[in-house]
Amino acid sequence: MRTKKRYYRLLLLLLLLTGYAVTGQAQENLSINSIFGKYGKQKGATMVVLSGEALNNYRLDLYRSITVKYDRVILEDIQQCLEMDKKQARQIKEVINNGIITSGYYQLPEEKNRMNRYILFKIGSDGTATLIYMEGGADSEELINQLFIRRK
Amino acid sequence: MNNNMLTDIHRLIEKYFEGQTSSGEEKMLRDYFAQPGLPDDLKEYAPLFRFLDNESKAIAVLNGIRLDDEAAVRWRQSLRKYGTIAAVAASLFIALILLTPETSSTSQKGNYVWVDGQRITDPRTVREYAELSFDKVQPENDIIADQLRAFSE
Repeated sequence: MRTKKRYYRLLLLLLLLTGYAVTGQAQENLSINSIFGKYGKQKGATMVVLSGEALNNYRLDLYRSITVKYDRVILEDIQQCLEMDKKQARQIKEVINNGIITSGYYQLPEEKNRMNRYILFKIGSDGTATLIYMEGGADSEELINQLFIRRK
Repeated sequence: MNNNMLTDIHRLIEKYFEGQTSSGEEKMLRDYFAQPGLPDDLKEYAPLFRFLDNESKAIAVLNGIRLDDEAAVRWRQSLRKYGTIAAVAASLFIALILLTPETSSTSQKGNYVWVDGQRITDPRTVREYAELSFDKVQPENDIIADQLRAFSE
């Protein structure tokens, strides 16, 4: 009887651990990832994905961008995702007009085994909105900052 | 029934009462007394060996039941044990997969661009679109400089 109880307790513990793992994993994902999945292959959208050797010069491991024509629904979606993800940011540079993020640079903290992560966003004067997500090693920060401040 | 066989039976009976019969010989006696048409001088022993025959059969049945029960209990215990082990292993496997950190928060790798729903993999084209997208997020002016300038005006 005691052995049976011990088995059931062990099973319950393992189930709880598995549940915690699922929750923890989901929280690590950024909200903006859903933007690429939802709108990246739509008509009127341009989505770029670069990884590996193509990014060696920039000391990046991953580059994803999406440019969409102005659409209220999509923009609201992006805004909500940025509001969620920027809570994790350790560095923020953004411009907000009438409650709307019109441009933003967010650097998310480095975690164990994870690189620096960057989110860039801007609503352009040409009626488009561009969202960029990048991952890079520790030496990517300086280069990205230089590129972002001004590139001519 | 021939005389030799009767002699053998008598000898076995004597041996039985002396406690020297083997189990095979006792079975011979039980089988002999189970049949009809026994000689008159041996009929008095029939109830004894028939009882013993019944008892040995009852014991064999009981032993069979006990073995079945033990086998069933062992089977249930094994099932419980291996079922628990399988459940633990499955949980650990699931936890291992879920806890293994990905090198990227996205599963999409490679180099390509989707333009109006069309996928392009030409490296030069992909790079051009990447540079174009990065240019689009460049600020027109330095944000902090702009703010400070507002105070000086």
